[in-house]
Amino acid sequence: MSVGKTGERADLLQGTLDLLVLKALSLGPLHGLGVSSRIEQVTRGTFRVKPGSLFPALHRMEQAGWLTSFWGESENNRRAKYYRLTRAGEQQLEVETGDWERIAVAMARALKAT
Amino acid sequence: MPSLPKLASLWRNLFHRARVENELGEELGSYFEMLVEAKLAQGMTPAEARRLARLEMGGLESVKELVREVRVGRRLEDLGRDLRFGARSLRHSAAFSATVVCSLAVGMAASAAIFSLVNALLLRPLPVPEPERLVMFAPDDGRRGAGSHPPGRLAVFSQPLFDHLRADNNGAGKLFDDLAAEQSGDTPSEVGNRSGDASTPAGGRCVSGNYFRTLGVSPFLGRTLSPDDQTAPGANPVVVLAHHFWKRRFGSDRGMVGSRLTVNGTPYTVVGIAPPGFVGTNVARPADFWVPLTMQVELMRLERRIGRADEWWLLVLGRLARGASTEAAETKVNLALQQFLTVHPGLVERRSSAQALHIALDPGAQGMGTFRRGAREPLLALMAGVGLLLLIVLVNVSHLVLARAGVRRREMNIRTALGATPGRLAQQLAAEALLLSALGAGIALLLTPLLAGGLAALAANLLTLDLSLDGRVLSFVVLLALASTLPLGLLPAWQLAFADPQRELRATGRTFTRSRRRLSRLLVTAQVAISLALLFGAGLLRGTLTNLRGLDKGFEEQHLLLVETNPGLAGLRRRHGPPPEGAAALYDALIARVAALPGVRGAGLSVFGPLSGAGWNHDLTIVGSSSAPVRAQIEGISAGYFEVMGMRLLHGRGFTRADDQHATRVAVINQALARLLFDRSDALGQRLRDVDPGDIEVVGIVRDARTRGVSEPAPPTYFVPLDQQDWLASTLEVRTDGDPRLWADAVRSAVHETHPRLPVLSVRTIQTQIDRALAGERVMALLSAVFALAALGLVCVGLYGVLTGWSAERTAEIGVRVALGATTIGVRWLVLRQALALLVLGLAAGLPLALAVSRVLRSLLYGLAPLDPATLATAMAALGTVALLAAYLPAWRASRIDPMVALRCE
Repeated sequence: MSVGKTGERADLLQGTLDLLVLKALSLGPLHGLGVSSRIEQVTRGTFRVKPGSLFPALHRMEQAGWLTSFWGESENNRRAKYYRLTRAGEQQLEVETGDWERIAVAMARALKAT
Repeated sequence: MPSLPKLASLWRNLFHRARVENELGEELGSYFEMLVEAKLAQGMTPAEARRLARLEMGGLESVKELVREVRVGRRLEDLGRDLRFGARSLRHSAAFSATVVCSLAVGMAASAAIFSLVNALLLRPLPVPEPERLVMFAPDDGRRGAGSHPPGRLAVFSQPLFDHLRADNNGAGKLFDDLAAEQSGDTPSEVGNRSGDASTPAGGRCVSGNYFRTLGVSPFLGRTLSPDDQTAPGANPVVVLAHHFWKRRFGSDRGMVGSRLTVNGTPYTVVGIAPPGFVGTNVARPADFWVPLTMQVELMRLERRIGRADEWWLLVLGRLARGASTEAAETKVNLALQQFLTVHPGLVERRSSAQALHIALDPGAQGMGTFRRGAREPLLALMAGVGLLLLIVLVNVSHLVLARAGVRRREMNIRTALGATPGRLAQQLAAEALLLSALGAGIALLLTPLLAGGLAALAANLLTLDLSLDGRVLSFVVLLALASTLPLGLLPAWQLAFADPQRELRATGRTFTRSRRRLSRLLVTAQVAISLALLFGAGLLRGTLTNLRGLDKGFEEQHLLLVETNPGLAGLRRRHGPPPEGAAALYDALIARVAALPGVRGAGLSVFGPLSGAGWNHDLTIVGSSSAPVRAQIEGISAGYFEVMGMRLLHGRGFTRADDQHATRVAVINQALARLLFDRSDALGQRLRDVDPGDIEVVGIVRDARTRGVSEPAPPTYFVPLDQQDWLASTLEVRTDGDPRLWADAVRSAVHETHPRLPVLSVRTIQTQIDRALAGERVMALLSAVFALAALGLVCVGLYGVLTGWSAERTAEIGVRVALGATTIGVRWLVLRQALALLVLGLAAGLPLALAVSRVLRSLLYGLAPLDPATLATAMAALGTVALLAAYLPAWRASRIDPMVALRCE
């Protein structure tokens, strides 16, 4: 009924969403729409992040100290809120990337086994 | 541990909400616009772009809400919002809220007040450090009738025995830190300033030098007594005042320390004030001051007891050493006792009794006191009453809440439809419940000390009881509040969890589901049942009190004045054997002067007096018979005593002037003693022997009188002339023509005129004395009445609530009935019939509960059968009346329903 309500699919994606957002911001600060565009680009359209998932994630991660925000001007000179990785955010990115790679290797092995 | 950024966010979220919200709105707004721009760039029309953008976004408010949900501090915000909303909602249903809060407050206050009393009297430990290490050496069980030799279990000790026990302890392997002793009971005294102006009656006791130290009591001002204050008899005229006495009598004047006071005519120096709250080891009999043991003669105005192994007058207490066990200490102490008895063989009258003598160590954390013994049954009964009362409160409150939840059903369902989870709704209901409980608890906390104080004063004149809300009582109230929150909050939430929103929304909101109706009826029936039990209990206890008051006590109960005095202060000195010098002259003068007052029928003197709580026992044997000795109470009286007291002489004669200290000893025995001693044969003329020299001739038999206690039958007693025994007379009995209170002043003057230093320690009517003896029963009757009244009030409120709800739900039906021709009376009867049905059901259910209550109370009753039909009928009638009263208003309102309005309203 409501968009982006915390349900089973959203829970599964929260971990991966955080990682994607951190990665998206690793190249430089972006505003909300920029983050979702970057993610869509980089995953070739596989992940389209709706605002109902994106903004809670951004705010959550900002509260956790992995991102900071500031107000700036967008491409079209519109006032928008930008997010940038903090030092802690960079560390978190490394940690989560490492975790993900380990999981991916393990999953691949499991699926290849007969 | 929340990180710094989290804390910063928390701060921002809570205190700069407006700004945070604005930012969020701006952020989402700009996101939307940029999305539209992106779509425009893809070539869509503005309208198309905006529509698609809106679809993609999925609802601005939803997104905002999702962001809000992950915000730190969300829980607190929710709680705050719930409380505010709850408060507003409760304000709108003011009647409901007020009723619930009042029910909770009444129930909690009544329970807490009674618990407060029980706590102060029975549970609260003495205000000393580590009270659990204190032990009492077989504490005084309230009967100060110490005998010429102690009975099997040693209750009072002699001073040499105490010293011996202390010395034994100080040997190897100390099991006690120390032992201390205090006088058993207190000495009513006169405390005055040196200049001799108005003196105050006060109660004080002699204590050993290490008393305060053993207990661990530090002085509030000055110092307490020390072992240095125990040098030689009469050589330590120092006194420590109790805090409450110092406050009341001397206005908390700090200059008192170091100043002089006279106590019973002897000058003392005040060396210190005890800390507030410390009244000695017996909270039910608080002490006003303490003097050293060596001042015993000066204080008590009796013969010397220090240094005499055959004078039993001390209570002993000890503080166990850390790690010492009570059992080991008890064994050691008893060994020491037997040692002592071997060295002093003449102390016990028979050898076999010596071996049977033993000391028991009782836990002393609560001190000693007359309320401890025999307090189990009343305590059980009180707690049962508290439990029942609370049950009624909970039932009442749950019921009201359920009724209200039914009314709010639509609101809840709409909110569910709008997206509220059952969890959130339950949280909100819980917040409302918390508000109600907190309010109820708050009011209860304010009321409790007042109620408890009132009860204590009314019931037993215990004005010095420390009834402040200590931790135990507070946690009791908090526990009650929490326990009441649960039904308040969970019941409606529970219902909601199992509700189907679709069906609920479709319902007209007036259908009373069958399960709810059943629950309602059950609850009210339960209330009535429990109330019946409480009313019945209260009725039984009240009946007991009435029975006891109405008992023929064997003496005059109306026109009698009792005056407590102490001839020792007038210069009479007790000596062993013959009566004090000048006693006969003083007594004669006093009786003559008082009897000469207009309106006074007669005056008499006695050593102890009726229902005084004091007494002395001796073993009596019949001269020339080999039968076992009989233990009897002894009382010394003046010649006119029986007449004044209204005690009828059945056989023989009373005492005359001829029965003085030089004549043969005579006695008048009561029927109880005669039965014990003489069975068939005639008692008159027989000779008895007690511990004092000279055979006693029985010259008369007097009717039994309940002088030891009202509910106790007359103890076997033998009366001897004042002139033929060595105690001082301490009670003056005055028989008057009318209300004895009118003669109080005249009698006071007469006493002072007889001898200027003869004190009047108290003046009471016999009625007051009887009431004091009935203190326990009065407390129980009063408290149970409180329960019963509270229960009645709650039932009234509960029934009222149910019937109002019932008729509100039935508005349409009633409207139809009226439209079809029902009369006003018919409609009222409809409502009343409901009430009656509930009443009858409740009474039936309450009968077994009432039976159970009477079983619990069995040992407290007097002259009433456990299922006394008259009391039961009265209780039922009371409930019936209350039920009808509660039903009246709803019935009247129902009969005024306008069918047009009723059928039109949805």
